[in-house]
Amino acid sequence: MNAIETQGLSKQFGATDAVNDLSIRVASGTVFGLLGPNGAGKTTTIRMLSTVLKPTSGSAQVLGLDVSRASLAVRRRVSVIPQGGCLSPSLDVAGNVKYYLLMAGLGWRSACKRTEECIERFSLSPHRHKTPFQLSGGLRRMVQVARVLATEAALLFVDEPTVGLDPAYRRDVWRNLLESVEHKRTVLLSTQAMDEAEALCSSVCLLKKGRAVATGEMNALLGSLGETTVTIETDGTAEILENAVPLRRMPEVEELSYSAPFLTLRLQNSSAALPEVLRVLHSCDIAVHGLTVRPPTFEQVYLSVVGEGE
Amino acid sequence: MFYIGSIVAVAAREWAVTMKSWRMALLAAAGPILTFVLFAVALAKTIGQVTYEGTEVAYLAFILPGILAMNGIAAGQHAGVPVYMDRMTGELEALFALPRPRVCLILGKAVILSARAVVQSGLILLLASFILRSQLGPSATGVVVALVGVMLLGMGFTFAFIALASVTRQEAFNFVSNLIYAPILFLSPLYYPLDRLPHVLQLVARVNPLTYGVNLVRSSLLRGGTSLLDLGVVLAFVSVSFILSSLGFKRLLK
Repeated sequence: MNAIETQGLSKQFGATDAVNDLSIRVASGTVFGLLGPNGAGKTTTIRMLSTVLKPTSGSAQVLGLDVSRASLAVRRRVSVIPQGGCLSPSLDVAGNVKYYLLMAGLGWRSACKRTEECIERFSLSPHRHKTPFQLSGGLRRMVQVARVLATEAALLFVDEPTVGLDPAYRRDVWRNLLESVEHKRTVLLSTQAMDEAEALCSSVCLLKKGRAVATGEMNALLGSLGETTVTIETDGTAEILENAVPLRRMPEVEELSYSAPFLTLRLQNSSAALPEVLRVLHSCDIAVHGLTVRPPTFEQVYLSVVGEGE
Repeated sequence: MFYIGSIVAVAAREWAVTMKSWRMALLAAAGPILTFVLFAVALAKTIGQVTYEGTEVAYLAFILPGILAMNGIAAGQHAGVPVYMDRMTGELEALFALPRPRVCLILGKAVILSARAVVQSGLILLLASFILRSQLGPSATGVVVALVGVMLLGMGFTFAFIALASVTRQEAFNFVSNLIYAPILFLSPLYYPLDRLPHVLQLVARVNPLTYGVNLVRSSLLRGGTSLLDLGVVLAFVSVSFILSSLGFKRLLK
């Protein structure tokens, strides 16, 4: 079953298309990544799906409910961690958790009980009486994550959760998000950090200027759009580049360079192309003394799809 | 029932936000009491008596309902800045995504701020009953109606300032709220009977909702009765400002 399904979802602000004709499907119990540069439409998409904004056109179903027609019912089943430090500056840590839970629909006693559990679970006891201004950026983010995970939401919208966090806090946030998926929750994650997407997401949608430019499972996108770098150690003779002309003609070879004794190729669809490359090398009498294959990274995929300048 | 539960939840949060501690609560109550005491020792002794509806009354008895009404407008002023704070920190977006009707976010705020104005007014009335004694002598019904008047003013001005905060930047809000604060106070019968104003300003005062709010509180405290016109205009002000704040609040994140 899909937790989210959008069809031609669009949002205009005046003459600006913030999100344009977005159609995505997010499977339940997974982490789905919305990736893209600043202004790509990630936050606007989250705001529409969490019913904070109304779409200009198109439709979106969240947990089987239409976001335009059943906004309150949608909000009963989702929670949002927006960008930035969003905690009430006038409340301490315990207050920020407790009143959030109360507003999220829990009764007074349940909210108090879960606040204590949450403070315990996330080791926030030494900070419970501190206001957000007295906390580090990492701790503020942890309080946000903690209070959202203490709700009963089946779907979490998480907007750039680790911006400005040190590696230890990033790992903590990642671990908690992955744990929530193990508890049958679905996470829609907006991020610009490709390592974060690789670590957490099973599927992604790459956005550029409000449009989806690539959507699919991470592995499939890596396979179809990623480039494998193959470094071949040769005998280092000067004629290598001349002899390697047939390699240049292969459609899978994106780039070929030589720095004696290493011949470096950037390959698309490497699993199919690599045997052919080895065959061509053999037919061109180029001796292969060693071979290193560097698999594609998602950052390469992102840059190739979204563009270097973005 | 769901709406009432939501208003209670929002009000509980607002109470915690507004009154971080009992010290804060005492400080909040101290301001208007101080104003009343200063009026008592300074202005009231200077002015002595004023004519209110053909009767001579002590100025302190005359100004007392005005100070209570001021609590209402002050409550409203406190509603604006948190809207910016919540928007700036992103907390507003988190609240908008929670399963509470957005209209309850405004109503919960108004309930707490107007309740605070009522408590402050109650304390001032208690103090006034010792200072003024025979000069005041309102009936229990008069006190209740006066406090209801303060509550309605608190709600009306809370809605009005939320509406203003929803459609302006914070600098503009500060500028506009400071700009309109003095005319709202001085173009009303809060400090003096309206007939002391030039005719043109009297006409302007007739469209000031505070005029009717002050009249409502004053007539219930000094005469023990109230006019339907005053009550009707105050209720209309509360309704219109509520509609405006609801419309403005919905547009906050657009």
